[in-house]
Amino acid sequence: MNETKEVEILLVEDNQDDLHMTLRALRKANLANHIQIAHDGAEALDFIFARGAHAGRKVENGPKLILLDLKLPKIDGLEVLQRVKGDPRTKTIPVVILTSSKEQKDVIESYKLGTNSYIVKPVNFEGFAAAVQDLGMYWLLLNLPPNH
Amino acid sequence: MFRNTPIRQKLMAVSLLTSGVVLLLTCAAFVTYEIVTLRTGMIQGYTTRAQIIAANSTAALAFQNESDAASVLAALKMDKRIMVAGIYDNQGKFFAKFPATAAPGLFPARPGKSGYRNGHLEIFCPVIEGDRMLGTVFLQSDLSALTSRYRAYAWLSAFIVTCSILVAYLLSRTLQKQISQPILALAETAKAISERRDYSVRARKFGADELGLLTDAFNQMLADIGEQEHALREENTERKQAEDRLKASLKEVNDLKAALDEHAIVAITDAQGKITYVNDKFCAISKYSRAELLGQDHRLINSGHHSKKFIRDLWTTIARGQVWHGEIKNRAKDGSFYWVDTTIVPFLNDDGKPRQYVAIRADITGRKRAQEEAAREQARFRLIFESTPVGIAYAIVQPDGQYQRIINDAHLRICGLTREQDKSPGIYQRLVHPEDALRQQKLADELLGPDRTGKISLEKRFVKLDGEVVWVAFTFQRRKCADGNYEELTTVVDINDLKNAEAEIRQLNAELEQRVARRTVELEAANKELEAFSYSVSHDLRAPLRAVNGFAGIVLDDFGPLLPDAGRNYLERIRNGGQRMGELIDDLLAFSRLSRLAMNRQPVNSMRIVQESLDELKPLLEDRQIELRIGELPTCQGDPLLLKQVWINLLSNAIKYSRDRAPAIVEVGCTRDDGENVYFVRDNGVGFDMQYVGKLFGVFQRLHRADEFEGTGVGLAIVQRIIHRHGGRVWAEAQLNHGATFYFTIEGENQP
Repeated sequence: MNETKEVEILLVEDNQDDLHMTLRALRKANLANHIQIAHDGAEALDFIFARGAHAGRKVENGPKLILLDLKLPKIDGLEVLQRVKGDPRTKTIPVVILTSSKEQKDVIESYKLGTNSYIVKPVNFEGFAAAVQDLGMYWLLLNLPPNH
Repeated sequence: MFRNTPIRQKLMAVSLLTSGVVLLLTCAAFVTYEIVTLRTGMIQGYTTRAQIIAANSTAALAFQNESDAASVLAALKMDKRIMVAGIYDNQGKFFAKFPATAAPGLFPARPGKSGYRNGHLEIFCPVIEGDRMLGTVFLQSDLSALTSRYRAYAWLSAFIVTCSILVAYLLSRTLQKQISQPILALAETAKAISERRDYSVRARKFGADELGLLTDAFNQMLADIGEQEHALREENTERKQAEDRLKASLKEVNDLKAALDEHAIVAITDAQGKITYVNDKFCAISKYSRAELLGQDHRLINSGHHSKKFIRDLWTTIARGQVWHGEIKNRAKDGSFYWVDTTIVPFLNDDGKPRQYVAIRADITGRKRAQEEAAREQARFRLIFESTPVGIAYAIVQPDGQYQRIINDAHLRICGLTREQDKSPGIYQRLVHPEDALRQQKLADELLGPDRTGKISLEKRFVKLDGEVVWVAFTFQRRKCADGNYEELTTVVDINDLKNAEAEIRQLNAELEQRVARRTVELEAANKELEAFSYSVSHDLRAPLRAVNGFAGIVLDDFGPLLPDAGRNYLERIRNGGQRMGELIDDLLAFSRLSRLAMNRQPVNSMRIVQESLDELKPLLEDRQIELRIGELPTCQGDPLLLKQVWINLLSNAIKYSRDRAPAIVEVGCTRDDGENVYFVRDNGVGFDMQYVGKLFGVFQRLHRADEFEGTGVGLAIVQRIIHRHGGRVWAEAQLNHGATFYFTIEGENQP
């Protein structure tokens, strides 16, 4: 991973299958150039807040989009979301929850903590690919973030 | 005629009348005599004159010398009163006349007799010569001489009579006073006395004559009368006074009797007991008329209530002349009974034997009834007092502390005391449970007023003399009576069993609460597990599914052209299987979520949610020929989201299973059955065999193959679960190929 290169998407996903399919979908949509992958919540937070393995990074130089699974080892997605949205340096980063959970309490909690979108991963392959591509397109290309 | 004229006038009248009559008679006699004399004299006078003429005319007659005769007659002219005169010859033939001019008719045809005739005096005198009669002289004189004499007499008489009467009047006026005055005085006196009734007046005496005597006698009589009158008056006064006294006492007696009649029932019987008098009140109360009662004896109204001895004693008493007093029950004519308070007073005759009995009674029926009622009331009170399980003690306490008390057996029983023990002083203090003493004292201090009036109630224990402890509900109330005394009412109810039961219940409750708490913890844990399970199903089961599905898709996508047709087909099947499993998982999760969601009960407009459901199901209706019949649906109480799910599931089923029909008919409505609203959804679709109806509402139970009608078999299970959570029932009726009807009710839906 090239640390100096600007990361466009932080993809936090512990499931290799889902990771593979997500990356494939993003790749197909030409959105996979600058993707940082974290396999659990702790890794994600280390990257976002430039700690541990990513200590050299600048926090302000954050990703343009975070795709966040909820059920993660070590630190779960909701906590990651809470940290990101609770810190003034990172709270403007769009966070999209990408999860298998259809539970209402997850949806409600996520929005309370400030998520920008909540996407349920469809079981259907075409649906899943389409959803990932759409959200990547939207948040990276169409959405206008505030200037740092 | 003079009866009513005054005596003075009578006297005057008597004297005047007497003298008048005497005078008149005298005058009349005198005048009569004078007139007779005058007339006789006149006849003699004129006869003499006629004789003279006759003597003078003898020659003329004898010689028939009429002129001589006439001259003889002419001498008569001296006498003015001679009216006519004539001479008749001896044959009676008229010979000469005077005056010569006199009409022959004035003479009588023949000589007649002398006398007064036709207001004239006619004189016939024969002319005689020797003894031969030569003729007759006739003279007729008027009576003016007589008339003037009569007038003179009349005047004279009148004058004399008038003068005499005048004199007589004057005389009698003076004289009568002598007689009339004393009489009048007497009369005046008598009149005055009779008018004034004053017998002290005396008549004045005018002389010692008979009138004087009369006056004396009169005065004496007056004196006597006066005395008598005085005596009489005194006697009268006395008698009057006696009479007044008698009247007054009579009136008093009458008034008393009236008062008695007004107040009391009065009857009088003779010595034999026969009724001789009854007053109105007696009639009124006995309802017999007076006529029916008089002559009867009192057996008529005998009620039969009293003993023979009672009646005998009564009669013995009054027959001895003693007053009897008592209360008697009588029977009225109509059979009703009445009570009278009776006093019988014997009236004795001179021998001391009862002559009659007066019975005075007062109606005391009301009092008697009140007494009887009071006795009954008392008996009732006693019955209640003694049979109630509530222990009662009631006391009247005088300000000095003396008291009277009644206490029932229940009270004694609860306290475990005998009546004797109850009376021993301070016994109740010994029964107080040590733990209650202070509490009761405190309560009394708080609730009772300054003179310990008011009410306290508490549950407390008695420690019986044998040591047994008994719980009672105890009340004590004390209030001041109008007479200054206090009344105290104590009630005790044995609540020992209640207390024991209460304790038992408390223990059971405590145990139950513990058990519930334990169960709740278990349940919560189970719920948590279930939740965790759903969560992991939701999350973890789907991930491998997605991998299966996804990578099958990727293989097809990326390497499809490399695979043989069969390989591609198998991969398709893998994908379909995965997809179907995903749907099953979704439905299963939805189903399990139903049990966990809290119900949100509120009024639900069924019409509206049916309409909303149909709107959501619109995609199913495309390219379908469906007739929707929506009936009236009442508002119900329930969770609108859950109920909408019911409608969606039932309607989508109806639409789905009728898709082979043209037109398909889906009917929605509500009927009332036994006070309950029964909603239904009916279709004319394929229906089902009723032998499988038991499987209909099971999870994943299907009556059709997936290639006939798609579905997971969860829809009706969801419907059943929702309806059960609403306390309702759901059931179905169908016939294979002839449609199905699903019914459901909702609890609390019994309002019209």
